[in-house]
Amino acid sequence: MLSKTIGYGLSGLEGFAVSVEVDISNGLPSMDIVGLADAAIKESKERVRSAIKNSGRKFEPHKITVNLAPADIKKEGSALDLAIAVGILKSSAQIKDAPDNIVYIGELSLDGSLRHINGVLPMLISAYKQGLTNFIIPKSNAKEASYIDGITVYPAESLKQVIDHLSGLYPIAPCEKIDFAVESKEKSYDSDMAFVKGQAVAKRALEISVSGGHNLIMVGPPGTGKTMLAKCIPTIMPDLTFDEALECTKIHSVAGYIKDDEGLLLTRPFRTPHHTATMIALTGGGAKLRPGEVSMAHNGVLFLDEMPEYSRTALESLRQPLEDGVVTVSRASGTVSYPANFMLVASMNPCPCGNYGSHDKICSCTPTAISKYRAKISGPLLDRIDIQVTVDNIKYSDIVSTEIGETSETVRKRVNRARLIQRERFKNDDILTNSDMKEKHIKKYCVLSNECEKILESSYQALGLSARARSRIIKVARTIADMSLSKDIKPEHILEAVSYRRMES
Amino acid sequence: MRTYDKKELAIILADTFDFLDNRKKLTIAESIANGISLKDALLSMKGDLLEEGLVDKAISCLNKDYLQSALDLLDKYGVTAITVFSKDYPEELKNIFSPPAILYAKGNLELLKTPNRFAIVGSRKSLPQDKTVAENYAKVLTENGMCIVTGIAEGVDEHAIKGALNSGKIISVTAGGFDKVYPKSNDELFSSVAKNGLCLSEQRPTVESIAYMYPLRNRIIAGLSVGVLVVSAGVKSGTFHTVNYALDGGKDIFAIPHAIGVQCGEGTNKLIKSGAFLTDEPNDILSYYGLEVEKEETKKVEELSAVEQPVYDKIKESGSIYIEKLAELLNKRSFELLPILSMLEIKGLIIKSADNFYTCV
Repeated sequence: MLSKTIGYGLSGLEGFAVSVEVDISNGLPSMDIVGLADAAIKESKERVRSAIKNSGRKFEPHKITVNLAPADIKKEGSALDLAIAVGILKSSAQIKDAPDNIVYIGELSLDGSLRHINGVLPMLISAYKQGLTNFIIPKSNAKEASYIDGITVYPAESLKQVIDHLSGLYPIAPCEKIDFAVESKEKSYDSDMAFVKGQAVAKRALEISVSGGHNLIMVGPPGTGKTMLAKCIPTIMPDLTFDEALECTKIHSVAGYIKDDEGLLLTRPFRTPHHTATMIALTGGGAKLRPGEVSMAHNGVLFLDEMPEYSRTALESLRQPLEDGVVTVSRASGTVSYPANFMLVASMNPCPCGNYGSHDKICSCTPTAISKYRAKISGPLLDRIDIQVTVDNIKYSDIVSTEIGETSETVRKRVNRARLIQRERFKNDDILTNSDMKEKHIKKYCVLSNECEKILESSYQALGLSARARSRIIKVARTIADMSLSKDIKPEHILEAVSYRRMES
Repeated sequence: MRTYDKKELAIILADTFDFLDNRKKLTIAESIANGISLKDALLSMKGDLLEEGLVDKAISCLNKDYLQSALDLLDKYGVTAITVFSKDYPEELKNIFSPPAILYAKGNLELLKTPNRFAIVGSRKSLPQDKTVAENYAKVLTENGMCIVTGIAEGVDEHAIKGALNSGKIISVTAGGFDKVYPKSNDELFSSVAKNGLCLSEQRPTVESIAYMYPLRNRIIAGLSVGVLVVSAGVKSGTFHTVNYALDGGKDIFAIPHAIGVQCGEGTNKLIKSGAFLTDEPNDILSYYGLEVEKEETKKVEELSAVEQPVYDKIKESGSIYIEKLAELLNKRSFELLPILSMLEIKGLIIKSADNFYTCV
């Protein structure tokens, strides 16, 4: 008998329905799976056979043909196990009267239990867009699936439970919807601005960066708390909206980071790839077209600690995502796009020994060593970093503890306010933050008074700035003006922006 | 192409033989002055002064083609050879111990005739403010009739050159030959000096600089100058060579004082304790040598606004201050001070160091 069951597949973050057709006929006992199935799927023969047997059903020795339609799209992974098992049970009349419109997702163990699948959330979202609304998924994926309105999701622990549900014997209770707005109030970060003592200038630079979406580099000797400061950044970024949370979770799910019983991401991602990260690890790709660190950092922060330590190729590969906010990975059979809109935060020492430019310590590096070190991050990548702040290890700030550190929450309120101004300003443009401004936006929204122009002019000469620094300084000044709720950019905004200039070598 | 007389050519040739040190070259020069040919001079030194094999080999080279190739080399690098017989040879150098038998020059030879040549030297690694000091002194001194003599190293030398370049009154003496300027990062600077000022070296253009050449070079810096300013120096600095040569020649030593505990100030403070003149403005040097100040130093007359003045005053009080401390003293948040500090930086009154200290210049 021929049966059709709906399974689901994923290509990048987009899903597609797979019609699992099963035909059982007379002939020598065999099971063939066709339809461009990969090795994992071909192996499901064994898993499905054992699972069916261990669920108390019969696996008759017939000629079984399984077709995964459409036949010209590659199918990968083990998520089709459940659909194939149900298809075989339907074809052998061991499941009767199962509704046609259910999507079955899950990997089967030999004992019949259903195992966690990566990418359930994007699958469900895609399927919903295609008009599918009923799903049976592994129980450990249940939480992930509980945020989407308009669908009914049945979490199952085993094939037996699925069979009993379909026969009406023991119906499974559908997942209860989780209200993201309510749940996200319970989020907590490990870090907080209040935990960082002193470093008032660095904290201010952080606030400006986040308010305007500017990429940031912290320069200072080791042990000055650059990492600690970087970790505070997600805590002062505006709260994740539901859509942003969905986007991030989809990516994390595909990459296998949403573990059993975990739901939507509530906090912005903070990714710290190691220095040995390859280009593929950073931007994505590889045989399985996995999302890279830049996509994992989507809507969050990518922190490159000791930036000169990363390989040149790895750093170069960051250009496209920084430019476009998206990464396209290709393979012979096609391309997949992952979003990659992240804030880049980097840190570095002033020189290999750490003392260059100190007011009282002598740098022991040779001139060649210094320029070699700095040259590692020159060029287009550095061009995309609007703000540089020096972080020092002067312990004076420990002595002066009269300042009660502001909490991240206080700072975040101001950041939200500044972001609101930008949202309003750019409502008819295709950009979101001040740092995204191109020349035409700067001409429109950042008109400078004569006094401001004069200050900029004199800063080129006096401070050795290049003309390219001009648009960077103006954008940062625009953010500072927004933070002061000032409609116009005033001289003091330009002057403060100038102090965050990059030390061009 | 410059033409050389017979005596000069002899010295030029002699310098192509690396086994001849300056002493021997001077001995040869004496013989040449007495009418003896180079060949005979070399022969007479054979045995007791020079190894036989070397002399024989050298003599076998003495022919027209060899001479031409030596001269071609000079042409290639745009270099003029100034020997003890040349009219351009600076008189003052003849009085030092072991005056260089030959100097290679590129640039404005007139500078060898100017009076009031003054050396500015210092350590390669110094504080940000020392570099500004070197540049400022060089600028003011050259604007008021002096010519600066220095090396080509990074740090103080480099900034002294920068300060003096506009006036063109700058002489850079390199340790190695012009083709092998160290550090390489100062190649451009070297070209600027060759174009606007004068470059000198005791070594042929293709000779790479080796450690022993540095003290030798320093004697030339000291010998050419009426006095030496040491901007920064650690306790073991190479600038002490220059100082000692200068003292031997009865020249004056000036030094920039530093706060206690600053590594690159320990040398200069030591010099002051030993009797060098303490200086904290270029005028000290100008008035010492009796030079009229033609151009007033403009920066001190800067008008500061009501918000800028208290900030500047506080920085000046400590000389060098950490931003958080400055904020505490002024009862402000540190980032509120940033616009004012930027303005003071633009006006050239303070500089910011990489560890968030602000220093008066």
